[in-house]
Amino acid sequence: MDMLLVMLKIGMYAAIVIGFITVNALFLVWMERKVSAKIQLRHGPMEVGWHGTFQTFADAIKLFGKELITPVNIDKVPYLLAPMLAMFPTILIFLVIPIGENLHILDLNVGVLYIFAFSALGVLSIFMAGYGSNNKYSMLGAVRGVAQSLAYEIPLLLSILGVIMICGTLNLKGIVMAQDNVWFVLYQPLAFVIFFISTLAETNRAPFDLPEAESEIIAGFHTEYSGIRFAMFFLSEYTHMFIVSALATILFLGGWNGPFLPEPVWFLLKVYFLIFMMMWIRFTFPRIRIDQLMTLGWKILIPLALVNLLVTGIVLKL
Amino acid sequence: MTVANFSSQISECAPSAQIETPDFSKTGHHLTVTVNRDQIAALTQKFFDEQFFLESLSGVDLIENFQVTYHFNRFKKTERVMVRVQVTKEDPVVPTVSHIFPSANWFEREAAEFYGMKFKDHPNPVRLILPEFSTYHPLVKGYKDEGDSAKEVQDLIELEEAIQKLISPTVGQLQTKDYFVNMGPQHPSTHGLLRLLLHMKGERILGVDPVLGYAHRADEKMAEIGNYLQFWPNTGRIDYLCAMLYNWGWANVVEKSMGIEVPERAQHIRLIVSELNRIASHLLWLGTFLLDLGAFTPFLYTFADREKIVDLLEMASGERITFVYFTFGGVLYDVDEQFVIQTRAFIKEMRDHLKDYHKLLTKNVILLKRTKDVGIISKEVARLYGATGPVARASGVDYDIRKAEPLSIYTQFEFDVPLGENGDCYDRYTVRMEEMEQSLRLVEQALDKLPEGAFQCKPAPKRIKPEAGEYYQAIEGGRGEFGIYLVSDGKDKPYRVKLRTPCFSNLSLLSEVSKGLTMPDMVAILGSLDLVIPDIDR
Amino acid sequence: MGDFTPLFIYGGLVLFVTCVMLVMTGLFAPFRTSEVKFQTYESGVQAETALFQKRFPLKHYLVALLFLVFDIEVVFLYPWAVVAKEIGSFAFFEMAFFMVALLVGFAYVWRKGGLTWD
Repeated sequence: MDMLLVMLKIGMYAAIVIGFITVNALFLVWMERKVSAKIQLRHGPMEVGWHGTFQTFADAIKLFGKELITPVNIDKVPYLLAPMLAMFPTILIFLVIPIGENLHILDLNVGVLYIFAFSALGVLSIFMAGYGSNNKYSMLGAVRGVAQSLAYEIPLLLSILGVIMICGTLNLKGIVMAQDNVWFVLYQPLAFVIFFISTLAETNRAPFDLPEAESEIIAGFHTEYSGIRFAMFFLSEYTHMFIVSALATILFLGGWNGPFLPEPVWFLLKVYFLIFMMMWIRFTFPRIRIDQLMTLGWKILIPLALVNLLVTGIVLKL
Repeated sequence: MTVANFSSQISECAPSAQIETPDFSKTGHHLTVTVNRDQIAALTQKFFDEQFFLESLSGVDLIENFQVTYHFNRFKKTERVMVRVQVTKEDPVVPTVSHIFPSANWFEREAAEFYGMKFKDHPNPVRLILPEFSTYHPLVKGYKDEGDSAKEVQDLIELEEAIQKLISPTVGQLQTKDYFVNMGPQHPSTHGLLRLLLHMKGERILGVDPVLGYAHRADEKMAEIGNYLQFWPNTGRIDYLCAMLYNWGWANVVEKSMGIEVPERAQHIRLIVSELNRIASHLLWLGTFLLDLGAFTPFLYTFADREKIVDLLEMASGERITFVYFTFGGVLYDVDEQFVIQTRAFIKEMRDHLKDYHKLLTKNVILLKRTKDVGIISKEVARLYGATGPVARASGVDYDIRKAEPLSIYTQFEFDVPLGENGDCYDRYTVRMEEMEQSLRLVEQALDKLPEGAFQCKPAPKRIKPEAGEYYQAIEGGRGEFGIYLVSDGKDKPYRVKLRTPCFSNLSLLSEVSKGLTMPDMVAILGSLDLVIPDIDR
Repeated sequence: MGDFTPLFIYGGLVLFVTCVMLVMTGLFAPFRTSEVKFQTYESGVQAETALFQKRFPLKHYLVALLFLVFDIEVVFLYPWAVVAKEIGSFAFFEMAFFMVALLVGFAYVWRKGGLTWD
């Protein structure tokens, strides 16, 4: 009986998580279209539903009806596994994100590490896709993707060490609770900036969207993917955006803390604000070049993150 | 030193040269020189030393002979010298001048494939525009598709070997770490059917080989088939982004050769629509250039502005892109008061928007990083490859045909020619941005002075038959010098029309500037050259 | 291990869902073969048929090594950061020394041009 209850509970949560991920991705796509439309002096989708609300639903259904083109001369195993592997970690990360004080599925004492461990898997799918496609553009995109996420993983990890030193825990709930009074973005403004830039690069968002830079390498690592396989990359990219924004909210913006409104609303508001910032940046800046990207990562962000860490340590000791 | 006393120096290095001084205002040549083929290299070297650039090189089929026509010109102030070399059809071999002017490389390849001539010691004698294995020579008079003769089959074999060497390098030639990537014909940032064969090592480019001809429509052959009026539609389709200017180019060469006087009002209208068209062209370039660099938003902003210009031009001409608005001796329709009012309103609005663009882009950190010191074209490279227009002006070459060889109307107005210093992508960007403002100035002045009167010459020229002779006239197109070399035999059809298009020459320097750069730089350079593919291929 | 049980269950579920997506598209989507359609895309030009999995000269080896070094550093730093407040000055200076040593190495690589991307 107990076993059955547990299974039921898990099934329900799974439905919620997968439902949320899907709706979230659809909403983000719609939001991106609308935000870009407003920035670019146009309307965006207007036909399907109120202000095109259901446009992305229609697009998702369309993607199910698209032919899966599997080119000849591919390396089958990495090619076919890559889109699944792209989905896999992003969904699992959702388990540990606390939307409210008691609104989470898994409460791990190493939540931060868990998230980084799984989000680092994303680059594997990029490389497998590029390597398996037997396409020069894909290969270039994959190589760029690997170099980029290696370079930006380190400042990302280093920048949040200051936060962890202040609150002394890796538990996401604990970190949020430590920000009851003051958000960590005030203690660690530099770390927040480094974190935000690094997440842009980690999620392959413009101006760091080099692995899929369409004016240079067609569509980068997913040039040879179509239909639902392409949709999986797409879904994981948008979910990834949500995850890093949620992480930034938890680590720097006080998580669900906020007056008047219920906790999940505050949390989602902060997350979507950060996502809005990402979109704003995307539609304002040109794309950076690969060597400049590496220079920024290795020569500016990493030293800055180390300095930030050192200063935090000294201040804490004093 | 002027061209007039240059003739003595020419006779020194080419003793048997026949030198004539034709009427410049009619033919567009200060000097014409006829030399033997063995003297052409020495003569070209002379021109090279005297700071000329090779403006154009064209083949002409004179029934019993082939003629190769070289046009040399100088930056700053036009001093055009035409050099003719005639060879018999049995032995159509001319020494190459491509070791002196690299721009001749492509010109000679083009002449060779269209006429079946040979350029001795040419470094790369493969097909440029026609298909790789073609053996026909379509610009030869009386050309009919009759299959391959034995001689042509022999040519074909030689050609195939050359191509094998060049186009598809064997694995053995490649080191383990290099590879070839095709950029185009179906690539988002070539903006048309241009193919670039990139030899790469990692992200670095070791070499570039442009493969042309995907959008070749044989405009030059079409000009010979129809009469002078029938060529109008083609002029609007070569560089379809500044069709008005190319209209003007065709009008100009025929009007000058026949001595047709254009009424003042028509000239003003021509200037207004042409400069508006130039702005539209530059706006489209701005949008696509930034799209190539990865910024999507400016594209939609500039298109919104371009749309207004297109609406204005539609009011004047009834067309939106491939205009045929000009006619010999004027323009087809008059403009009304409404056009003037709306154009004035547009100028005001456009100035505000240009300020916005500068705010949004000119100091943008990433734009600066992507364009500064990328794709540097030196003054010398610009001269060697015959680069013109904003590309050359960004390198500091003071060559704007509106100043160097102005049509009479341009001398009435004030405008500046913006120049760059370094010749990098950023300078090409700033030069074009500044040019838009100068064009606005020109339009504004022309609107103020727009006289009343006829918009076509009266009586309209009935029979368009320029006297037999050779004419060359150039105008400043949106991308550089658009020159037309017209050979007339006094009949109602052009005998030979050579279109000297700016993109053709501007593209030829690509391999010179892109070595050692990365693929994103390549995209930036391509964008900054502002290529229109039918303008390259014709 | 108990903490992570749900993880494996979700992992299985995610796999199931992705498979369902693929099966669904298999049911709905058309499938028409044509030789040209399945060729590798290379800007509309016939691409080489051999697998394009070459060595790329990106100094990847060096970058990967550096990444490993920093990653190990982070592995040390994380547990240290969690307890940084409680442990004494000795541990702090110990870590400071470790980081300085690392920074010297970093500066060396920088100087040698190992961070210049090519």
